[in-house]
Amino acid sequence: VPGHTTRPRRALGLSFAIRTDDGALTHHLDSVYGDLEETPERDVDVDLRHIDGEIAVTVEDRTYYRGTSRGVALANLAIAVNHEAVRATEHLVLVHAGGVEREGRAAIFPAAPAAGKSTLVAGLVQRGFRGLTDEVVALDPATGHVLAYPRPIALKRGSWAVLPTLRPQVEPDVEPYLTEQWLVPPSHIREGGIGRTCTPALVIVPRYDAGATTTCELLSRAEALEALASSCHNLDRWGRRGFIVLADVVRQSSCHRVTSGTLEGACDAVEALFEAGGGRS
Amino acid sequence: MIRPDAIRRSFVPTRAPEVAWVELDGEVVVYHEPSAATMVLNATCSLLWQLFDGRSTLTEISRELADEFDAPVRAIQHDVMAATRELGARDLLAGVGPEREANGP
Repeated sequence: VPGHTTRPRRALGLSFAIRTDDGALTHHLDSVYGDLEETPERDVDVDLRHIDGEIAVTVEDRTYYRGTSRGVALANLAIAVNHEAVRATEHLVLVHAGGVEREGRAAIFPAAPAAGKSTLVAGLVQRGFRGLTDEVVALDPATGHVLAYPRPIALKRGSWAVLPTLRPQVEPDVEPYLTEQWLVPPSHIREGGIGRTCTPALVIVPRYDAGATTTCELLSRAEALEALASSCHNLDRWGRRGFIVLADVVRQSSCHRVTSGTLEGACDAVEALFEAGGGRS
Repeated sequence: MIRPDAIRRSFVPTRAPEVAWVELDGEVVVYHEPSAATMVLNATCSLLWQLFDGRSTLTEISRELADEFDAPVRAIQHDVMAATRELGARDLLAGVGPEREANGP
């Protein structure tokens, strides 16, 4: 059993702690998961440990990574926590999407991997929005509200050049873990950067296209619903009730597709849509 | 259970009970619960879907649409048949099965 354990925290419906055999890494993980609520106990331990010259990331009998790269191990640890959180959450409708909040209104970004969700969320938090999540939008089916899931924003190498100030400051022993991803909690981007429970106002399907000029097209509510439903982690569990929850999201939102080749252009487009009163009929 | 291509003008279309749907700005989005699939229906299917009341035949629906759009019944009927068969092939109508099931043992 690894000797260092983070404080237990809640990620959606999961209470977890991370155990490692590296004290400096544990200190870093305590910091990057620090925006999640602390809990007195935990349901599971997520383990990162060195075994026979390799690093293993496991949760109970599930192995998320085994190999020699510390950077890939840390990236897989973040995936493990998120995957376990989605798996353990039965009371919320969960959509694979990023999200930000401002003045009690949410913009939801359903998109495929590598579409630039995390980069967009980080860029918008820098501009004064509050981060709801970079990966899983949580909807309360009883109220239709969007709940914050402030896991650390996972920034891959491709984002580093446009967000250089977000590089985590870590002890030298932790540096080798930062070769693939930076894990950046919203509160580290700016004070007050964590989103609050809010109502949906915008559904924006973002797409990063290198070299493209920024375009913003209207998306029909039907297309937006299809995008949300196809990105829903647990629609099979919720069935028609979940479908109606998603339909209510698009009914109260204005829906768009934003394609951009720059973070600045994408952030400008989202900001303009908010200022145009997205979601206010 | 009939095959989609066996649908005739006397057929009375009924939405399958395992399908949830919503209308958004004139477009219908359906959710097929057993397969957890979501589909946006095209304009013709969206319009028809909302007219399927479980009592009217396709002939009656076609006449209603012909009156509404001031168009020849024959032309409307052709589109109505094609769209209804398409909905049946997608497993969205009660009593209509996709080809693969109809061809089973």
